[in-house]
Amino acid sequence: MAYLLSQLLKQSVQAHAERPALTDGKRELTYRALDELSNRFAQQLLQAGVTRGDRVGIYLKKSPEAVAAIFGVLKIGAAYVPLDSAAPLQRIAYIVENCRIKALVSTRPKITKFQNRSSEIENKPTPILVDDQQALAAVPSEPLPDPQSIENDLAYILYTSGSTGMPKGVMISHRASLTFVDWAFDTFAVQPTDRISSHAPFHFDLSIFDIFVTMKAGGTLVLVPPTLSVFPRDLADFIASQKISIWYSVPSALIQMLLYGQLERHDFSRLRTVLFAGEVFPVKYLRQLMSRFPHIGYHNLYGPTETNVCTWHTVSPLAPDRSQPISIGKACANSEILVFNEQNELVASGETGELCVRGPGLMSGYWGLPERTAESLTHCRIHDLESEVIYHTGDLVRQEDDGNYTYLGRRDNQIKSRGYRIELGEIETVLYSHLAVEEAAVIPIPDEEIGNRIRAILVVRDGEQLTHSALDVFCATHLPKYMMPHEVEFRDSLPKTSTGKVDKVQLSQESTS
Amino acid sequence: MVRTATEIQNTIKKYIIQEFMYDQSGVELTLETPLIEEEIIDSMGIFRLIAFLEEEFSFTLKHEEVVMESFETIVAIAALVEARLS
Repeated sequence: MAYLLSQLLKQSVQAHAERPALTDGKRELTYRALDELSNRFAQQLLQAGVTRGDRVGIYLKKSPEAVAAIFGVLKIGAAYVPLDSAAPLQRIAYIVENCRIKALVSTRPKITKFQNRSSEIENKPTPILVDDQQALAAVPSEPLPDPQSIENDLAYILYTSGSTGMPKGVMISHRASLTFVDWAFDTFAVQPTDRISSHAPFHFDLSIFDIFVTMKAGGTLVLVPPTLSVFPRDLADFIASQKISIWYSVPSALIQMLLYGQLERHDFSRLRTVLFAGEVFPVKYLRQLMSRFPHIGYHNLYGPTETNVCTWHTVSPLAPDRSQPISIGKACANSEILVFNEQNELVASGETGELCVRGPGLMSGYWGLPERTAESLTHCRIHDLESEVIYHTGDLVRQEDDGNYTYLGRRDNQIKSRGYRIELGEIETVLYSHLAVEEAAVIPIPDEEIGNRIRAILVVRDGEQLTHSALDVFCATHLPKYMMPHEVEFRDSLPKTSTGKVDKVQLSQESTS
Repeated sequence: MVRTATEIQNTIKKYIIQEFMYDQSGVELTLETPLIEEEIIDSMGIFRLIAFLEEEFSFTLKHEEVVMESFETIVAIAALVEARLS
């Protein structure tokens, strides 16, 4: 039984060396070719001095090389840190510095741009260039010495939005990742004949299913070119032509295809399973999708990055008059769901409380943030066990009579937009860092297609000037695109509550009325 | 007013620089720059661009016209606009 993610590839190479491991629609790599390419990256990393426990950044567009690099990192016992290739360089530099990335797998143009803009950071990772064919050919493709890793070692760090203004690194061990991977492999009966989509970017936790469940099954990972995600019809063409059998994405990608992808023109007979996660799927769109393709099984997966996936729900046909949101279901195998009230007492079925998770699938903590980790991972007495670790999701839920949980909202200012998790406080912190900004409030405007639109309301300091375009430039250099406000409004003052805080309830009511 | 192909291309280029390239100082945008491949326009940007084209050139795009090959470069977008104006 595999206890390290790299062993999934090793086992599939032994069983299916000549089967296709992955394709991007143009190129295909067999399991043997993927294994050999990842060995070469691992050799290069070893030569760069990377050893067990180090962090390696993957700063690449989605590609066969990026997948091979991920396995190269894992094979030497290091942890990979996927970086959003379209994020502002300042954010990339922050992450490189924050978790002391030792080597950065990238391309020559990207590295040059990064090095030109990151002169102020102390940490200088060694570049490993995937477009340097000579250097790659110069290292052997033979298997590497065993790094003596154990299942508690970190496999990867995924950076998510942080309420204090900087992204925070969620540390996931091999054990935590495999808890999810093993469950998903069994539950969805993934076969070597399956062709599994890789739609989410690698810095997004949905990619864990795509990459590692596929490798475990000996199936074929179909890398969806990010450019296609821009065009719903091209994306639908790709699913049909690539004969994808298992699709996994945020609901908004499916909604865009439903609305603009001309699905009636496509043959989706090979598609057997659709998984979605990351945000609430509006019932009216899910019903349309299910009635158009009734042969497909639809499953809602729930879980913040810190837990991988912790509950799931197989969606039954939806009645035409149903408007109640679909359930997030029940706990996955080897995960336990506990619901606590504000007094930290377990609540009974039917009562509202915060969803907490116990089990081996939890994160190890937030990189370099022991206090934030201690707030999220707490010790409590469960089942007469003295000190069990549970993770507090911040999500409010209620357990229904049938045992399924219903998601009711957040305890804090976190929202979802296009499936991305966004702390509104992080956007506000960036806005406040602009010298001309006196006051700032960021509020979500509910939107059926993308979950939420982001609206920023600003008061400019006396004597200062700030235009929409200047603010756009400022935000674009500090925030990833998915966190950029969709709308900006300037006001003379912001409404206040009796305690002197910005009255966001009033702002929300004004914005949605 | 009839606009020439060059005028259409320049209008689109100016809009893309203003709206999508604020983080790309030093990157030169040419008529053949692959806009999607270079991640200048993404899934959020495309609908803003379409809204701009529809308003600026007074036409409505059908869903089946919103495909990659019509938006790969400024030249491709301008050709789409020209075809609709003629």
